[in-house]
Amino acid sequence: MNSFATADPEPILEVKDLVKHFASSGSWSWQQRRKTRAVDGISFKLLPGSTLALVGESGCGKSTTAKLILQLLEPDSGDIRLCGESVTKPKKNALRRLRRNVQMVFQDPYASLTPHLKIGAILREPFLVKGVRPRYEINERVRFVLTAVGLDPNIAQRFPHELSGGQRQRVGIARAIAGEPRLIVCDEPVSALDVSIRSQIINLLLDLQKSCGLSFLFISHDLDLVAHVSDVVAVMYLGKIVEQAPAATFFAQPRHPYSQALLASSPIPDPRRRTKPAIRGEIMAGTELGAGCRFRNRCPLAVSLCAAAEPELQTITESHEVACHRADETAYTHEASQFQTHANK
Amino acid sequence: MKHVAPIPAESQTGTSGSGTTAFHGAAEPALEIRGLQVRFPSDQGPVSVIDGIDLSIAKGEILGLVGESGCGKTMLARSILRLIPPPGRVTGGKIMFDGVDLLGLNHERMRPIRGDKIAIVLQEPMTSLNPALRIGDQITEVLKAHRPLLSQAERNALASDLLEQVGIQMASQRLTQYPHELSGGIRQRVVIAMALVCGDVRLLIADEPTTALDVTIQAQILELFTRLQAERRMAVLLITHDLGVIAQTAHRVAVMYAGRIVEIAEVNQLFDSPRHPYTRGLLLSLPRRGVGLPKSQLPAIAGSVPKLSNLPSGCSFYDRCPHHLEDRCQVSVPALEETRPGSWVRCHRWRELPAFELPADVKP
Repeated sequence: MNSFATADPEPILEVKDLVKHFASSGSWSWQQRRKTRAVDGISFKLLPGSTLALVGESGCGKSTTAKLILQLLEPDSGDIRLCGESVTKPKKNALRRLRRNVQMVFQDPYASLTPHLKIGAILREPFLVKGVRPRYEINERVRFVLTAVGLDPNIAQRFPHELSGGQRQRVGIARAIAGEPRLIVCDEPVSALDVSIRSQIINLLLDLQKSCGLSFLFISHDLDLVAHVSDVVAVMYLGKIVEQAPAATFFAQPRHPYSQALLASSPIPDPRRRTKPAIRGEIMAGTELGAGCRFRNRCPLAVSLCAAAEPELQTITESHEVACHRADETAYTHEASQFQTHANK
Repeated sequence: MKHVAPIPAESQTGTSGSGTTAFHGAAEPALEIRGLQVRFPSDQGPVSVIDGIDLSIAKGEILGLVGESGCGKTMLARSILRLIPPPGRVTGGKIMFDGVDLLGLNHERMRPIRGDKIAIVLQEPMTSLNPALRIGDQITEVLKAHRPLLSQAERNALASDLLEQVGIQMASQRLTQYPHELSGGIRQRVVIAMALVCGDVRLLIADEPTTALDVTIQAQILELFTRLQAERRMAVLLITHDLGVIAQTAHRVAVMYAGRIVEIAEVNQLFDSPRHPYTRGLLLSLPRRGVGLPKSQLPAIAGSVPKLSNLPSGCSFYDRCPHHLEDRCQVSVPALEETRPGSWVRCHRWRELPAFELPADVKP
């Protein structure tokens, strides 16, 4: 699915120039006030029924973006439009209505279910909020969503601690779909689960997307997983989107040096193909950012221009956007990085 | 002032043997575990967290240990260091290291081994460093315990040397910093330095050393690990649930499931032709770039990990196994059998299973 095609249907989610800075003042009044630019002007669109993956390392602003979309944080500036309506400046009572369209699946199924409530009670809540009455109707729907996520409806009588991690994450997903949202934000939905359970949960999410036409904003650092589930990939680095492209294009021809480094350093489950650390150093501290590119201290291609001016996101081929001064030359580097992962025998 | 009595490093392969003597041919074992059993009491009677593990790690070898949370990986690591948290107890077996059975040592005699001969690196670098102490003090503390004859200046020199070896620049200044001043990657490098500072480490246990790190940093740390391991010819027990990390780092792999080892093989062997249905299921269920259709259903392993207190009789993978046979697999626990030199599998049906194949386009 190509979200950038001209005859687009209305996007389910549209984020424009979103900014969120946190003031991290020192603990003493004479210390300098600093700003963490968690999300620093990002824009993207998500079409109905498709999946946009936000990829990046810890601290790059993925989760802050999710919280902003869910209105759990208020943006400093920029606009978020859900189903065509702005949620940042909502009209009276509109927020509650708009929020129904978006739900979240959390990373840790052990922390995201209230321990003293039975599963049934946890799942009745979205229906109560929605105004479903009477009680037997609610119970009927609870049974329905439990079946939809592949659980035995009798699990409603149990407490979260009686369930396994995989079962809990299914309950988390059941709770998310109970309100019949159009968009689900999945923040690392499987990284806390056992390896043998992950694929079950991924399959369930893919199934639900197909049958209910859900859109996913999928936050993950696992590139193999992202390659499998997403339609569009957006790579974030220190609060900015540095590359955005349809998944197939992105994985075939990543153009930002950081995307290339991410792909080159994620370990391949095949001992005959070696991965190597592709970049040195670590994320720049917020105070050192200055005017230039945020990746310049680790970038193998950095030149003086990169320290002087921050590259803007520019379209290089249809629907493929990259923020790099040297994007013209990166296609070759990628070929080179392919050679690095040669067969070692 | 006690010094480590040199333990005679004679061969220890002569121990009275069952069928598993000279177990999977580790030529010069740095560590040899035999029939290890660890139990925890519970309301339903004792629960075997580790149920009869035989494993050896050769000198200069990285042995990868894969398994899910709760399968006993970490307990295995802890039992080597004799750090099983009570009320858990080692109820049987031997752990031979340098010609002595570690399980037979009292705490007085265990202390010179911990941190000096056998060191451990844990998952979360922030929790394994003391936030209130400068990192220099934390590194030299190990030396104070194990090399009491050194002067403070010598200790500091050793510590800053080592920080340079693990790739930290301006090492002497770093020594005066506190853990919170360091990034996650540097912290993990410090933890590795702390583990190796005695210079005589024969066995390094790394329990999920990169799980808390970002991919680009993970790649750097893994490279550091393999470099140090090769330079020092250490034996490394690398515990992780990430098959990618295993494929990239380990020489040999042991797969654990519910307290038992279900498969051991050399790394290429394990990834090319895994024998155990669990190993196969894991390898098949991994999403891989460029393999299979995007958004298609992944071949998942059905069911969930059994509770250790409530294991199925017979093979513990019985419920989830696509190949199970009622009359055999449910009746008896399969033995670990040698399928070819160096490869072992715990499955009744390994001879009958079809050859393992990944979806066609996975091989370049």
